[in-house]
Amino acid sequence: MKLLNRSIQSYLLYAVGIFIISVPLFYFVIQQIISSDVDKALRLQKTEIVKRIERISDRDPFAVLDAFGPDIIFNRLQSYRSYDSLYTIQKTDAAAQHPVSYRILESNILIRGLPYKIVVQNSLVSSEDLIRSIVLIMTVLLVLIIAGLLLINRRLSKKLWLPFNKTLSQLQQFRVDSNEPIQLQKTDIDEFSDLNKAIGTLSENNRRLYVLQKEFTENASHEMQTPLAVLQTKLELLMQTNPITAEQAELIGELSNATQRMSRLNKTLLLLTRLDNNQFTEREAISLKDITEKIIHQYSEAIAAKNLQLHTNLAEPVYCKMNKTLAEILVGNLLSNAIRHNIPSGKLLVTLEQQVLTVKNSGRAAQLDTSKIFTRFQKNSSDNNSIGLGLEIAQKICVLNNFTLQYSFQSGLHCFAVNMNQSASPSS
Amino acid sequence: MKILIVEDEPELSKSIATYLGSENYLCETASDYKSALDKIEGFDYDCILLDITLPDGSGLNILKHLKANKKTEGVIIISAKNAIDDRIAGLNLGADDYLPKPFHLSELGARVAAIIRRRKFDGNSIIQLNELNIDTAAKTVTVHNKNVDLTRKEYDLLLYLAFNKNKVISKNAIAEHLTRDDADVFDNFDFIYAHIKNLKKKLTQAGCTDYIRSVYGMGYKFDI
Repeated sequence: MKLLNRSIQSYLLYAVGIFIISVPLFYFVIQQIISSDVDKALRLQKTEIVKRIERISDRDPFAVLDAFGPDIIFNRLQSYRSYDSLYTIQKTDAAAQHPVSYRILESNILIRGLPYKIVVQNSLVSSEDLIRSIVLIMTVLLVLIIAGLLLINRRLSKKLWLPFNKTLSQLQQFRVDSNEPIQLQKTDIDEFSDLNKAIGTLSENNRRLYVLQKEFTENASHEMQTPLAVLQTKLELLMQTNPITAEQAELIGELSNATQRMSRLNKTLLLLTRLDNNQFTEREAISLKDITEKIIHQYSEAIAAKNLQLHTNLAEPVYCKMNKTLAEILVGNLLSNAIRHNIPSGKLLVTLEQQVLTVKNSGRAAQLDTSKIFTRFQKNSSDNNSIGLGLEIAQKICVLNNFTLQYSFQSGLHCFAVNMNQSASPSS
Repeated sequence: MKILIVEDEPELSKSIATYLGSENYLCETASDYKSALDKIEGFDYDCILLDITLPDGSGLNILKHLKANKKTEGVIIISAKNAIDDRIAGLNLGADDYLPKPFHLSELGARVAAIIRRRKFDGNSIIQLNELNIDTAAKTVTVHNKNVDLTRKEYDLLLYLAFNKNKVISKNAIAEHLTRDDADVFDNFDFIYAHIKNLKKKLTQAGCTDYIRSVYGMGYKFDI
């Protein structure tokens, strides 16, 4: 649930509660006021009537009955009651079609010692209308106030949270390996400004550390090259010395192999850092078919040495815009991988169609761990020539060019597919 | 033949000087930009091995200097910066070759020999080794004036061995020379052995002395 909705929810609950309580309360209070008003008026009317009757007491009270109108009833009584009674009744009037409430004051009075009953009544129609109108207006007002409050709150909140949402989307797009520092919008709200400051410092620190680490790898690889060159050349000079026993020769040969591996590892690490540093900016339109054919030709000897059955289907001349060196490295890595991890007299299938380059090879009869396959130094064979960086480099090149590289294990063949359809989503 | 080694790492420059010195090259060394410039101005060399990153300047400026003074020395850049930009910049400035560190001395020896041959013996592209003749222009090999039919790899191998004659060449150096950077595709050095075997067979069948010797544990040697 959004923070915005949560705060509105509390307001809404409170407002509806007040509304539910206040409307009936208001209704009863107004009704009470009006009915006490009516009662007062009835009493006043009675007092007035009594005064007038006393004034004309010389005459028969019934003779002046007409003078009081239809709302006053005058009766002779046998006994006298000293208190008044007030009540409300429903009567169907001749004029009004529906029952109408009347407020009635029944009082006994003594005229020349004789008890009379006087009934004064007042229609409540107009008072009820008044109450109804007041409650209606009140309801409309309350609804308007609540709706307005909600609307204002929503708009205000959206406006208030705008800097936060912007920061969030910036943060979502932030990559520690990006070359640009994170760009956060300025805001005059202290909390968000503090947040932005904290995020800015944090991301910048991370980015700097990442750059430092990258630089370290690059510098270390560079710095290693000279001592490696010294080591390698000294070994070669050592080979020229005389006499060398068989034992020494073997040791020198083994040292030479180790040095060779180290220098290859170093070269590959340098390539990785250069990929990370995005140093392959030159792009050109290249024919992937030509490159694949060239690489296959380059590896033909290795393919023959392992007696692999090579099937190629490079029917389509797929063109794409990318760095030529990287394209060669990508195809080369996938192919050398398929050759190196192949079994003697195994299969090697290379197809290029519909913007997808697929390299399939026989090998270990089990699926590789897909979660680890593209990670650094993940070796799936005991082969000492493998340094475990080839697939990571292939993956990096694919990411750099918005390609997708996928691994699958189909009918006993390990399959690596590069999808160069740049609009393809990673999931498809 | 005189070679100038411009390299700030003394051990590396000593190694190169020792290796090339035993091939009858006269080697001089310079460890910084200034002394390299002094030597270039004072003497003529057949080949200059040039490191790009020097303590007091860029090797590329030495190249510019050579070009400006119309010096015709062959230049091989030996650089720790395995960057394509450097390579292109160097070659554009008139360098003849580019060898990234770390390199094999036998590879360097072959490249130096190739450049000196190209510069010194223009027109004459024949390497004469007793009865064995290698024509580097036509890329043909003759023994007792009879043509020997070699594959491209076998020819490359023979030339590499011949350029480093009487030296032990490690299998790693040969593998790297024959396959460039793709040596790791192979599980082992069997493919080198196969090439050597075929080459030896073809040469001896043509009546050539078997100069190619296998050196136990280390590699091969063209003994003449």
